[in-house]
Amino acid sequence: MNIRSLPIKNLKKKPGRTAVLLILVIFLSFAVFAGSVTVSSLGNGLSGLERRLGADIIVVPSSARSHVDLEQMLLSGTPGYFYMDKSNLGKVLSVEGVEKASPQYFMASVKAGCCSLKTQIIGFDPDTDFSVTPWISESYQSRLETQDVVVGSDITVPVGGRVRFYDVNCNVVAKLAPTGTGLDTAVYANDDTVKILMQAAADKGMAQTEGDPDTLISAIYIKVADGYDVQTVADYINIYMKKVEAVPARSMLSGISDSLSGISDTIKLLVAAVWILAFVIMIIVFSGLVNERKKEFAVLRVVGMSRKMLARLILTESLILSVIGGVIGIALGAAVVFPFSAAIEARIGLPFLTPGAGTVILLAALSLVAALVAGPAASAYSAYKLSRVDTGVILREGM
Amino acid sequence: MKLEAVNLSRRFTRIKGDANYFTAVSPTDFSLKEGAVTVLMGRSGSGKTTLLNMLGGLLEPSTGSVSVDGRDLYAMDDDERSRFRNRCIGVMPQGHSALSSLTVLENVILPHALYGAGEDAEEYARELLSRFAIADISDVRSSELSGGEARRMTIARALICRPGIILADEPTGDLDDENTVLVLETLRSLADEGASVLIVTHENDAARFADEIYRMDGGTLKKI
Ligand SMILES: Nc1ncnc2c1ncn2[C@@H]1O[C@H](COP(=O)(O)OP(=O)(O)OP(=O)(O)O)[C@@H](O)[C@H]1O
Ligand SMILES: [Mg+2]
Repeated sequence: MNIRSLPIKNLKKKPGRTAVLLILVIFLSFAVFAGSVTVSSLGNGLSGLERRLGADIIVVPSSARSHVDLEQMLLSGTPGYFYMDKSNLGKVLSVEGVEKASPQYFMASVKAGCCSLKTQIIGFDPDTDFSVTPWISESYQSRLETQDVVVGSDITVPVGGRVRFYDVNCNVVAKLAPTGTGLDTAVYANDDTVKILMQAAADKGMAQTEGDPDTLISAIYIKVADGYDVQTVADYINIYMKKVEAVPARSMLSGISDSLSGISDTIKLLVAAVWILAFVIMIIVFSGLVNERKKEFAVLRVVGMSRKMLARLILTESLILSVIGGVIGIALGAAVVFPFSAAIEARIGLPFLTPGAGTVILLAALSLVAALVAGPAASAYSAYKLSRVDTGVILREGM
Repeated sequence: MKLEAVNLSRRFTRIKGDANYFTAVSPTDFSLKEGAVTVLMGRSGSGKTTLLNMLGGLLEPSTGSVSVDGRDLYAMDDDERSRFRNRCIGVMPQGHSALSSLTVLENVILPHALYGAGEDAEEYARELLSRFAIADISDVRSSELSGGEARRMTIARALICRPGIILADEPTGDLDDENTVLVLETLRSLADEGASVLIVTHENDAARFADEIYRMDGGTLKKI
């Protein structure tokens, strides 16, 4: 008989009571963990997207604005294309405040025998590019050769494998880290490769433009120099250049970031509501429980337990429940959030990128703390109230 | 050990008529002598349990003091008083007081385990259990006991730390004649070994074992 085993014995003695409290704690920590991982995944998705764009301003032909959903294409990877004359690049470069400008070339592969998959193909100029390269270099350090492609994380072809576009075979040399968006289905190549593919498409009568691939570009990615205002530079381009439109990247993301913060706030509110609700129920359950166990506690005092020891006993019981319930709740939360993150992304239509192990562990620790605080805090009041009353009085009440 | 109460009284707040309090125990002096059995009788509601709880350090008196071997119980802080009660005062509360999540043996060892190793007490616990004829149910959960078995277990539990003072509140309430005599004889023999014993009882038989007999009447204590 060791006094330290008393809390466990008490919990085992009343499995029903213990189960009810456990379920409350599980509920609470599940909500906190699943909720916080979701919120952080959404935030992560957005910042991933921002980093991915890597540009302050994107210049596209005016027609792109009216004909194609630019956001859909750039952010969600919906296959699409548009073109403008290459001379625009020089004009953009001469605009004051433009530090770097690099062209990109868009084309779409088709769902037909000549292509292994229907996807967005994005070409960039390795000499001037600053938006795609840094991010490719995370998984591929060498220079992309002609007919080399780097694929998004959702494309199932393995590194070292081949993909075929308009009957041109390309080597998959690297796979990118996931962004949690439709961009994970895109394919990246250098400009020469894209021109070859455009020519191949034209040869098959599937040309996506009548123009000469050598004189065309799809978009210009701009990095604004320090000390210049992005909006001002974009406005300047929009006023002085014809048939193109300069779109600040921020504004493209603002729609997403708005609905993202809306959803995040809703989730936070929900988590807080669940936590408070479970906490309040726990307070009620504990106070009922302490009431029901008054006689038992009084007897412990009679045989020599001090107020502090009794409070410790009650807190230990609730702490044990909190640890077990917290761990189960977090495990359940993980079992729901991680396997279904793709489904969640599709469902809410927002970038959803599970944070790294470090963040997940931190969130799990915080959720556990939320559970650890709730149990003892909920029982503390009852324990305190009980300790204020003389044992002799409780002995009678409990009879 | 010698227990001494001076001017001890207890009132409870209770709205009744024009008085807003009720005197359960009127101011009284009282003492328990080493090696003696003191029996306290009286009607239900006369204040016996209230007095016993005050003597045991379980109920703060309205006036007066209780001291054991010169140490004032209510001048101690809770930690000190709890520990003191654990070591020196064996209280058998009125009614059921089994801890249902523990077995009979664990119940009995518990007081000893509170401030130290319970293992040391096992031998004595088993001895007490067999003295009260409940050794065969030592591993039974105490929630499964009969009233008389639970009562005898409570008595064994109060004795496990070999207290110098024993306060028994109706210790024979649930017992048959045979066990009543057994319990009273045990308490008597503990007194003979030097303990100060107080027995609250309705049992007229108890008088046989008593050195002193008191009667409580409406909160007023009288020696007989
Ligand atoms: N905590 C309390 N609050 C209010 N009144 C109380 C309290 N404790 C005891 N009393 C009252 O004090 C009186 C004495 O109670 P006590 O329990 O001491 O009687 P008793 O002599 O032990 O009776 P019994 O033989 O039935 O056990 C009773 O009238 C009871 O109602
Ligand atoms: Mg009584």
